[in-house]
Amino acid sequence: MAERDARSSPLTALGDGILLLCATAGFALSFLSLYGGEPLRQFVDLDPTPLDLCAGQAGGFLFLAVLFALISLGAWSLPRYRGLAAGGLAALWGLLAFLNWDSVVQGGAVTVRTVADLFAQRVSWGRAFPYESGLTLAKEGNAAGLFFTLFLALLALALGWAVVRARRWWIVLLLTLPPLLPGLLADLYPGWPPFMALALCWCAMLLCDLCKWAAPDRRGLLTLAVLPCVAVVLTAVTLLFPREGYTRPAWALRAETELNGVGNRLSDFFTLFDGPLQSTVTYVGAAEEADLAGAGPLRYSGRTVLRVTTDYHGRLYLRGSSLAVYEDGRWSALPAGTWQEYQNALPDPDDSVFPLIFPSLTLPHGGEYTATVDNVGAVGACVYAPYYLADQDWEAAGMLPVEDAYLARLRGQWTHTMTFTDLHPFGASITEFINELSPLGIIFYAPPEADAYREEYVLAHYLLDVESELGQYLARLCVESGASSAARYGEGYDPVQAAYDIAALLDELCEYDPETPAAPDGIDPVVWFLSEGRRGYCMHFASAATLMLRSLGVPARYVSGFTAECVPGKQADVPDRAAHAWVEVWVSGFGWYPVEVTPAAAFTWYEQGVVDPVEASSEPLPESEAPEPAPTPTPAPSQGPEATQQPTGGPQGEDGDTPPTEGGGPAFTIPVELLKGLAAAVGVFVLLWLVQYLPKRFREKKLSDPDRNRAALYGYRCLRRMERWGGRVSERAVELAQKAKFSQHTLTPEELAELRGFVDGERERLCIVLEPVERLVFRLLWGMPQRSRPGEGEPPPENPE
Amino acid sequence: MILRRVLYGLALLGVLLFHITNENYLAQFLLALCVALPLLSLALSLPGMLGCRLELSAAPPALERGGDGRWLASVESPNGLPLSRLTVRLTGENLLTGQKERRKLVLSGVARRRPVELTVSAAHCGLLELRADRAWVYDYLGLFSLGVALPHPARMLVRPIPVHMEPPSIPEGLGARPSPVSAARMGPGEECDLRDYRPGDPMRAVHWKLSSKWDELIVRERADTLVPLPLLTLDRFGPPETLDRLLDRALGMSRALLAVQRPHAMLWLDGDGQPQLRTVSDEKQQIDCLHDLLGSFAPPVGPALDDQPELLRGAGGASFRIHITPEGGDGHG
Repeated sequence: MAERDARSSPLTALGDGILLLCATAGFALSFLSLYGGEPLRQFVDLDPTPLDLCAGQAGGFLFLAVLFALISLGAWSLPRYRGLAAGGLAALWGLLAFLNWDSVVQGGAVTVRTVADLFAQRVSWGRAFPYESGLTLAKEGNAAGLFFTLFLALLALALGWAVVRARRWWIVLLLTLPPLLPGLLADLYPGWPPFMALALCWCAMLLCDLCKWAAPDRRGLLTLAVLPCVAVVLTAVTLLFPREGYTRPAWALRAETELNGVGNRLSDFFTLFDGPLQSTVTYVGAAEEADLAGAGPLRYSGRTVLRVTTDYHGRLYLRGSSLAVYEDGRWSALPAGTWQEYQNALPDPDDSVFPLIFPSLTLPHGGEYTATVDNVGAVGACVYAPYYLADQDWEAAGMLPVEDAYLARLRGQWTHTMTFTDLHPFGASITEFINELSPLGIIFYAPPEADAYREEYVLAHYLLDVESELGQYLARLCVESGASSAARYGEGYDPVQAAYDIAALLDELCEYDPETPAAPDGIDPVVWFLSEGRRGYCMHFASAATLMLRSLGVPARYVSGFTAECVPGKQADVPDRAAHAWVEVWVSGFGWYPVEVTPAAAFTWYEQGVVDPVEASSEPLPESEAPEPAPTPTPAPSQGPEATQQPTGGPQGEDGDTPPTEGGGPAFTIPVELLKGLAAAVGVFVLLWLVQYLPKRFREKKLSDPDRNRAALYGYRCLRRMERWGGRVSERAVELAQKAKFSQHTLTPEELAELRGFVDGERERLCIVLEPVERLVFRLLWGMPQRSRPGEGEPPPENPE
Repeated sequence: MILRRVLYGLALLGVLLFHITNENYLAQFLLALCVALPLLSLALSLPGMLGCRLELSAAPPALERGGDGRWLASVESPNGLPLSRLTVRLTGENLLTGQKERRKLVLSGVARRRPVELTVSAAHCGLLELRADRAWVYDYLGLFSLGVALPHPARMLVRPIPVHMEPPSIPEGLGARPSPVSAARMGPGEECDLRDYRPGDPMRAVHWKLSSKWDELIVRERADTLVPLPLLTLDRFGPPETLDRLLDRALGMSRALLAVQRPHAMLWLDGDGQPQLRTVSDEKQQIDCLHDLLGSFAPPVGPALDDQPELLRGAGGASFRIHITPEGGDGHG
């Protein structure tokens, strides 16, 4: 029986129809549920949008989607004049769009704005779409509905072509997935049944892809057989892995930590230790820049970035790098050469002291501690160091001081052991410390470099231009709010107290919110934070506090790093959510003094037990050590007096090497070595395969050259190359090669085949007669001989010499 | 399919990395789906993969040199669902000249016996053979493959184009055909051979009793009347073009002899130098002889029959030898 046309088979039409319905209706309802409707409100805090109104009419859009799909199916399934029918439908669509052009454009813009707003609210790098239609919400909803209807009609027509005619699954994927991607990337979920219908179409078409040009009735049969099976699989996956109560598995967290560590180490090959920090990630951890303007909602994966082992007990602030310059909503380092210029101006540049060790030079010492920080996934090229670093052999410790800003990692050095000094056994703050000790006649040691550094560098680079618009605004804000007075911050100002006052003011003015979206374009993010937004997280608080302190004449700088809850003898795994930013103020006679300006709400994750399995490997923080809930005054970023208490709960390891466990059971660890071995084996295998496959393909291609003479000459060269392995070149092969080279005639296909036979025969012969080792190498380079069946293969033609 | 496997590997790796680095539920769903889909594909494909049958045939089984022939490859799926992709590595070989041609046949979406035609190069005489060296079928995603039972090789005889030749005059007593005798003429103790009836045999030579018993005509001939047949000899070596000309002439001479009711024998040396002698009394034997003549390898260079005169002395004594050469000028004697 002659094959009938593909479009005329009822089975094919039925299968295509189901696919098209799934694609069109699934997309329509997925889109509406993703960007509008009530379920969305559990994820986002957004005013009603036009798409909410459209989502309320989901039944109507479902009807339209089915109608459009059927029309498209009919048009593309016609035995003839399909193009005419599709063209007519497209023309009708164009006419409708033309007649309602203004509404369609408005609806499109409104839809894009809604999607962009949602995206910007959920993703840090998302940007809102500035569009004001001037219409009421109801009218915007109507316009968006009209736009979506026309979009759906056009999409159904395109999907009809992709399903019925092109039969390519990836075209369907390209047509339906991109509009949903912003929502999916923003961790929003579409309605699951319609999304599964869409996935059903994708998967079924993928499974039928290799048979897309089969006989029409068979293809239809296959589609109808595949559809229910895929539906069962999708249902099973949904039931086995339900969305409700989903938590990321522990192995994924650990794998991310390991991968991040591997990635960091690999990146070490491409970075220089003494150059500027390479990373430009807008991460709250240490980075070369901190983009406050683009800082959107915080997103953490929970992976471990640092592993800290120390004999210190309490919360450690691990300092990454400090940033000095604030411009256009972005913190950055001082221009290159600034530090060198300052150094050159010193009387004895070789005798300079790293400014971060000034506090440790102060007497008396409170206590000496040691911390070993293993960077397993933190960004940046800096060392995360505790306060206050003692002077030590930096290079031997695998790091190098860079200007006055940070310690750079030496290449390949990921674990650093540092000695640091705790200056707070006598009080909670340096002010109290100084006030208590000064009457006793204890003189602080202030190296002469510290004075020079203050005069020449700190005052020059860590203050704000009060004449600037931002400086005036901040100074005015401080004065109006009572956080500043000329008498208080005049000659003998107390920078630490000023910092606490500013922290209290910020806590009063603003609210801590990790979901804070990025500031609108065109306004300084600090001004927005202080004036309108009034919510933010550590980047906002630290930035605002730094600039406000500078506007008051207090030298201050922005610092990023991590916080870690440490217990002696235990390894503390620092997750990425412990990334933090704070402020350093300059205290004369002491050095840079860190001040916490973010409200205590920022640390509630420590207390809430929202500790994922990675964090759980750290010693749990006893309740008595939880941060002070009262943000005022903000505790100094070092161990407070109450934190010196020994933990009362939780198992205590007998020695520091005790591996952390989760829930008392053995912790799952990814067998990295095994994975590496497997990866290496796979790599070697792939390499060997490539070494064999690529030359073989190259030879096949050359021997199949349309220019038979050229192919024959290449075959002859192959024979010559095989001579070094003991191959033989027959006279006939030489004759054919000479004919190919010198004759005006082209070799016949038979002659070329004969020459190829010589090449293949010689290759097979050598694969048999060579010594084992030579044979292995020969087979590797020249490929394995074709398998011949026993008893049937004729011996290769011997080339008589 | 390598590309599909690589793409799947990349997709799986991407989804795995997505799951590792993202806490979205969709990442886990995608990973589970990415693992489940190949299993589903395998489950759907396995019945067809296990039960499919591949057949090779030639159409027509024999043709003259330069004729239009086709190889036919047909596949059948047991459950009616199309097979995703069947790949067959084929080797076409001219058993006479030793020329080989390897090709790969890829069939997608085949479900029933619907032969696929492959071209045949019938430029040279010989027995062409198409055999499947390896065949395997993929699942619907193209990730898993399974070997398929290899079919019997297909063969196609490419006959020479016979040259019109005049039969030589054979001297009396040489190359005479054994004469059938009637039973009445046979004396006691005389031995006779039995053979099938050939057109031209006298009716009195028919062994009626046996013929009625076997339901076909059987004639008897006196054994002692056997005399050596005319012997066509040919040196079967050389390049394909030379062989073509040689075989054209050999077939022409054989037909010319048969046309005058002259049975004859053909003698040649095979690729190993072993003599091959075939008797040609009718067309059927001629075709059988051609199969033997064309179905073994003829080397480019080989031993000549003149170098082995003992082969030319048959058991029945001297025979009338007709030596066929590619260029003509066949020697008699």
